[in-house]
Amino acid sequence: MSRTNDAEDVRDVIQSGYRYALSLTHCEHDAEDLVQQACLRVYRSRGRLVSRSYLFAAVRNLFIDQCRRRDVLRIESLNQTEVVDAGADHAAALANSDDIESLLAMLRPEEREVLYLNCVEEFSAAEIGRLMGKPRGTVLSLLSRSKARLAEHRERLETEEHRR
Amino acid sequence: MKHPDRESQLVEFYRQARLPEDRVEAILSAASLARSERRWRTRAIAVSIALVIVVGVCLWLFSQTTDLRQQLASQPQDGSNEEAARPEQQNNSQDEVVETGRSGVQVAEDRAEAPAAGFRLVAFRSHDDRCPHCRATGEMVARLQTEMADRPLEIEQFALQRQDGRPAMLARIDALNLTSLVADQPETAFGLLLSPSGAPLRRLDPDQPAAAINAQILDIIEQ
Repeated sequence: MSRTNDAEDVRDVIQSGYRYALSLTHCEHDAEDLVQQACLRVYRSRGRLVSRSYLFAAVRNLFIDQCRRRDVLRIESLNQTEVVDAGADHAAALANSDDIESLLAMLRPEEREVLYLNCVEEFSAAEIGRLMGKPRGTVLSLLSRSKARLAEHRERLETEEHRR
Repeated sequence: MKHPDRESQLVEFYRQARLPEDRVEAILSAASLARSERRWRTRAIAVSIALVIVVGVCLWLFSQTTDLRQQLASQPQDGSNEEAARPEQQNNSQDEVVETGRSGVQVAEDRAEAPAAGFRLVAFRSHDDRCPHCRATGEMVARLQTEMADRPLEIEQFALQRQDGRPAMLARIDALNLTSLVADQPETAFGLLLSPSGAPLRRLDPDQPAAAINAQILDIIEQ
């Protein structure tokens, strides 16, 4: 990752950090709070935003800390297929099946995380694995499962809508 | 994903999510404070380390100065230090031990019975006559005993290597406040002229000519 020097790069990195935080929290206010804290932590420790992945790591560590404090981080095995985010509003998703935001709300944080990193930031599986501290194979499996579950949720919502 | 538009929807959703500009500005302005905090913290750590070093050096210098003063107070080498050393010697004279024989010592209560105190010349030898310096010191003592017989000068000789009567000899050296001169010296051979109060006046080197040694002693005694 290249070093960020000028103001525009710094703003881009902050926006990327915000989007990454949003993929983790799926809440704009929490994401804003998270990226602010992460940026200040990086500035305090390194004096500048070192790189995009450095900020992502800071955001992720802060998110895990917050989850531990709130005791909402759930550790699940890869075999578990039916897990819905605690904040997911299924009724809202049914009401608006085209709303990608509602569909994302039905995924777990780590599933949204790999989807964001892979699809938006175009990180490779190895880079995602380094960031998440997981093997590349696990990341690929998680990514595949996340996409499948997203599609599954979507189909289910569409079926429900047709029945109406 | 099965449908390509889903992935593009996902990308579009996250691309549209943007932190408001005023929030970005707030982060950037807070970043300057965070950088300042980091800079001042670094300076504070550096200053703390420097202070610790300075305090350490000061303590070391203080201890060195104190040791030096103690050494100067206990080892005056000429008459100029005599006045400074005298009060301490006078204080110690109450506890002074007076020798009454070659191997025995007597405590200060018997001081009144001892002969009147005059100048004293003490000589230390480590190897009897086996080394040239000790032999020369012995010869110097023997010669002075003869030549200074009519002078107010007591001459004592300490054979440091001897084991018989060693406790009494060490007690005597201690009583004369001369322990510091020989304590850390495994080998030594020299003479020392003491004032009537016991203060060291002049160190006498046996390698000096006999006439020079006599002149120094007489000069001090006559003063």
